[in-house]
Amino acid sequence: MGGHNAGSPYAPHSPEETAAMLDAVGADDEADLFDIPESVRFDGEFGIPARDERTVRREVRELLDRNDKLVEFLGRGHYDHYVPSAVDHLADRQEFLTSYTQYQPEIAQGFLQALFEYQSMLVELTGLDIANCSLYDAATALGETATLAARVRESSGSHVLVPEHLRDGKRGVLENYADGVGLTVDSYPMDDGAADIDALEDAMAEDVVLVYAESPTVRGVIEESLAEIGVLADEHDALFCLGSDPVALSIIEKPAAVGADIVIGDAATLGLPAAYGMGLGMFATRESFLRQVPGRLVGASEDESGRRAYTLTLQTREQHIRRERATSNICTNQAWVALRRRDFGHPGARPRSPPLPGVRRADRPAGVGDRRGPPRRRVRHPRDRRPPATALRDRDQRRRDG
Amino acid sequence: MSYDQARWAEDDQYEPLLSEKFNREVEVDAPLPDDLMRDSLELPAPSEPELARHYTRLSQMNYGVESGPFPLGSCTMKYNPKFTEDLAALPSASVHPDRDPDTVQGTLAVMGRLSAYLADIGGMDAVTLQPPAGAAGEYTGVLIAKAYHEANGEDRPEIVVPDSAHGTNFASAALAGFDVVELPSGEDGRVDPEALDAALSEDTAALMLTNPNTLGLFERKIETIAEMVHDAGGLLYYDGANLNALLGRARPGDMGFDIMHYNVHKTFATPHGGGGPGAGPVGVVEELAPFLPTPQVREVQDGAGEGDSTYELYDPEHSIGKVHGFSGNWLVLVKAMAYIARLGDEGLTDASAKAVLNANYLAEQIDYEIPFEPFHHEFVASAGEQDAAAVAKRMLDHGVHPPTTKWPEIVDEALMTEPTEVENKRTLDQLAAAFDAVAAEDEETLDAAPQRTTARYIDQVSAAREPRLSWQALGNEE
Repeated sequence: MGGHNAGSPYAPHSPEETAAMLDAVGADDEADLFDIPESVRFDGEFGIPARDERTVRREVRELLDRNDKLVEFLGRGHYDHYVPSAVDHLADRQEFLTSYTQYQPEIAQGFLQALFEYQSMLVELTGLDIANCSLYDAATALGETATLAARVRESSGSHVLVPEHLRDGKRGVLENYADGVGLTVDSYPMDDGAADIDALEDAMAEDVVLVYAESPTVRGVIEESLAEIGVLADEHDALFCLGSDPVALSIIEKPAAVGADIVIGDAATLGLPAAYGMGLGMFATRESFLRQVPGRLVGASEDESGRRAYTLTLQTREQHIRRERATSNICTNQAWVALRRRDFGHPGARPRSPPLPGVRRADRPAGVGDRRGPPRRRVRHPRDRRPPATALRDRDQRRRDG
Repeated sequence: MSYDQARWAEDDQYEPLLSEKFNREVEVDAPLPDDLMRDSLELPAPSEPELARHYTRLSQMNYGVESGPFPLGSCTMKYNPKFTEDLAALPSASVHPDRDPDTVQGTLAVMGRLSAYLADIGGMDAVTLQPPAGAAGEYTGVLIAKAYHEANGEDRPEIVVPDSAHGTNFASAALAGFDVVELPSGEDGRVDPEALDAALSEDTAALMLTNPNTLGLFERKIETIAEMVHDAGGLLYYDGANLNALLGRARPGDMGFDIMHYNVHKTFATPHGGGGPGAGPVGVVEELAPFLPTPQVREVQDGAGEGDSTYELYDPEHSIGKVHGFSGNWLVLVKAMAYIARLGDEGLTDASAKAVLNANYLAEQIDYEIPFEPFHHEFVASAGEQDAAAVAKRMLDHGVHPPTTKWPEIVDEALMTEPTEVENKRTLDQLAAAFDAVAAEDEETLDAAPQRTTARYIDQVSAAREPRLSWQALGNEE
């Protein structure tokens, strides 16, 4: 390797070509084309030796081999899932991997459709109306949620409530985003790995604009009080954001049915290995916040031949048009990670029979969480804003039947 | 050159949605109480061969860098070397983010080495790799500026941004809580020192600048600009979107910039992935290093030989905290490190030289007027009486990806063109032929374009008027 050019192996110019091109632009040398004042020219060297491909491969492989080979049980949102080979082979097709954001939709139908399908799957998993086609990771998605809450708030609230046990990175990112819009972040206590609902109710006395809860929580517990948290948020004119992941969402009650206004999380678990925390920020919300959504949205439209076609839409929310009044600064996102989702089969759901043996929730004495245990208190949602979970289920059923 | 993009069509649509082919509803069962569990889940469940065909068809209805010329201004659509993909896919690269630093010495070594490369390339003293994209880098940079001024007991609520800057500059400053002061460009397309003087004040936290700017012009008065900003007590921020113009020729740090971000998915050839993931590392001068995000990587001891150093994570003293949940887009960083190592000094310098040569050669061949020069790695032509957006659609029919259009607004009907170093004379000639063919075409032809792409012209206005953002939304209409 190396070949034609003493410089970049990815610049294909032969010396003859370079000479002809320089001649065409009337320059003696490439250096003549740079309009850089002498005083700021760089005459030094970086001291980075060029290496051939094989040498770089060996070097990087040797460096990475210094990572200890361990079986990882660290979890907390990042799991050693097997990623089927088909994911790599299909996502690595250059038409996907090397393409740009779909600002010319006529030539980018394939990626747009894949993103539209990703959005749709999140709609099914969350029960919410809309999902965007990715943010960076769960932490920045939570941060974006705080800025959205500040924009749509119906009260003078300035507090965001998060669980006492929360990943530091998530809380840290949230604090930066919240600070930019004048919000402060406080935590509510947890009991036995899940929300202490009485303590949360007390904390709501402050002027709160956003309550965040997770299921599973960072301790791996299924949060049982989501519906109650939804009602508390509603009573205080605060938004309720649920953090979860797509695999858990395939089993637990639809977030929309427990009153969640926004669902965030890391969807990288669908097709990316535990890549030192590289993520896929999931973001789904209600239709009423459509024009407040951060990041890109793919919509269905028609082309001139009358066929269904896809395009980025509602771009007036975005930074390249709305600039400092945009809903977010995000431009480059995690589109290709969204493409990598392992979408054959259902992520976590199993047919009703046979049941999974021997699995039960953590932190609960046997029996309490048992299917045949005493029914938990059902919380009704205020009629004006959110139908109760059962009504939503009925509506879903009607939709399926209809 | 001509090109007919693949078009898989069925009745009133192109490739049917996965949901239309494979949706299956399953009842959900898990050992959970009923009220914690959903009833059912309805998702596509294709077999692997069905899935493979679906995605292969979709890929054929998408255009990538290897499909043909991709001179999208400001985006630096380079060829993405294959071997870097292999390295990022190594099992040893995939480690859990909560691991003890002692067990991820390889990952930290790659990060340490990339940070050192980037610091040298930008003339900076310290680098964070955490920001997951260019805009996230900008956000990190302005947070650093904010923290720095606060540490000095100063409240500086404004960031100055030229009117020709990337939209992200404005949005990132606003996200960090700053007021944005827009700086009008001078007649020569560059920063006007008088206008800058009027914009700067004791409220100025920073000036964000792209150099060469979005017209491809080098800010010749950069030293004066730096002095003015520093005299006003502000910091100078470098937007690295156009760094591919300067590799080995000039460094932001030497020009007086205090903070910069690098777009590794532009300059360092990591794939754009249809919109991401990218990475936006941030470099700073020594005085600002204590404000970098947490954690930072550092080498703790020099062993006997190469590769014997160990690395640790630490929290900078006045850190702004976190801008990503973990360490950013790690797999992208692996690719960037490998690319820089492959090219070295000579290759990096040559990449910029050829990128600038290609832009100049292409500009020389086309009929459209180019109002501002001398440009570097990109130029902005004017479509004149033609609608730049229509020109772009018609260029698709000529088998090339069009330039960025209608921006920057300082040029009427702008065609912002950046061929990068990866095109040769022959493909540049084909690109020029496409420009010239379209320049000679009438309005009717332009309005009927594109004809040869998968989809014909798509009505984006009606898509926004009645948003249908999921297959569920489509189903509800029926």
